[in-house]
Amino acid sequence: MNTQKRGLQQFFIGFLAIFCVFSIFFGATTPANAYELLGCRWPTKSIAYHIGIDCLYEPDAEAAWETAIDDWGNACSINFLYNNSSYNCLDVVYEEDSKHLGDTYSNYNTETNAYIYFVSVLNLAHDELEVGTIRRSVANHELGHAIGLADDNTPLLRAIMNQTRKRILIYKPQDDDIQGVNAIYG
Amino acid sequence: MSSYKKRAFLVPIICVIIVLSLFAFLSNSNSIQPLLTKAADDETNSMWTIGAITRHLDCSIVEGLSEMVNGAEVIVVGQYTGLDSSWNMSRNPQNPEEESSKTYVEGLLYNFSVHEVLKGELDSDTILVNHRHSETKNLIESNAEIDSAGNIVKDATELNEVQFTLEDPLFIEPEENVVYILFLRENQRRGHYYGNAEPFSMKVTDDVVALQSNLIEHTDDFLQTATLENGQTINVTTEIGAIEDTISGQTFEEVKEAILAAQ
Repeated sequence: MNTQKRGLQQFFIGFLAIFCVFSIFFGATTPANAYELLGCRWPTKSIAYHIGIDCLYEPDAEAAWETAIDDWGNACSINFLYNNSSYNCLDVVYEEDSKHLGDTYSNYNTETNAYIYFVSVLNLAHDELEVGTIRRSVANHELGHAIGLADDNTPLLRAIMNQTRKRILIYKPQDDDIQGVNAIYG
Repeated sequence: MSSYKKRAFLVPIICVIIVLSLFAFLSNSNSIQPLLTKAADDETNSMWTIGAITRHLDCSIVEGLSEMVNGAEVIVVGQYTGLDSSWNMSRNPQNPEEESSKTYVEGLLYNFSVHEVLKGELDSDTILVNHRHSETKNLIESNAEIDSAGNIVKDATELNEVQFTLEDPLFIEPEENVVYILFLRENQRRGHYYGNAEPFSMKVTDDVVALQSNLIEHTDDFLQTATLENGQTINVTTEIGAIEDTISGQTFEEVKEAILAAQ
């Protein structure tokens, strides 16, 4: 009986020690919940948009926006709904010599912190955007800004909002991004 | 060792480990930021006015010297010798030979005298290097009503287009008579050169290299105030992620050797 008790004690202590070592290791190396928020939000989870005139001439870019809209819709409770009478706009620009792959301007009410409208663009002059997966990655990143997520360049963080991500590998919202959206919209 | 002594030895150790585990877990979890206390949750219509503007970029950022070397077609050592001209970097997407009719993005072309080429080939020992300087945007101010999802529910009866200009938060004015190492790409259409990722420039002073970027260890957003044509001022917040500087402080020869080795 005594031997059994001691065995159980040793098993429990061993288990606890291994659990603690793993907790310390993963706690120190994995940036959990690293998302950053902008402090603004849409009052609704259904956000209207229309495709800009220049984008209508660029089917690859339009497809990137549509795919990104599906990616966010599949990942969380936010829905982007097409409405031609929306001021929210997804478009393209052609800015030569630029480091910018994508860009989002948002106008918000300073009293309520509610967004009024946003305009997001893909910069088709940047040679990286010739790759479809990278276009999708940038489109998803910009939509993340449009709904209230900020950049987070924590090294090795697997998130669409990380500007230093490998865009060819991380092209749709990741767990960290989804947690960020949930923190804003519930 | 008796059972009592063993227990007296093990229990404090286990307690310390548990406390450390809890600390590691808690310090790593983001506490949910207090936010949106004022956000309108009801779906009331809002009048469309120009409030404050946030701007977010997905910017091409390179980390460390080897990424800078791999991303550049040409790496040169030399000096800026003055401003040559300015141009509109924003082009018509359907015909890049034409300027954009919507936006003016001012690029400044500087003359650069090349002393040494560390990567790639150049036909001339003087090149033009473009720096993105500023951007002029148009905003439409109107009395249209939009709903909480961004739909226009009542068309505008009054409409006013206003402009504002912002200096690029990443712009650093090049200094003359100072040696720089530049990591460049060629604009094939126009023949000049530019940095296609941040950072792309290093300054050499007294044989010591300093990486050039406004993103180095910056933690806050760039806050700028723009004045509209009608006199109204708006706050524009530009958010770009920070970068880590692992290069500054090395000697020119050390960096040059590392550049050559990385090819």
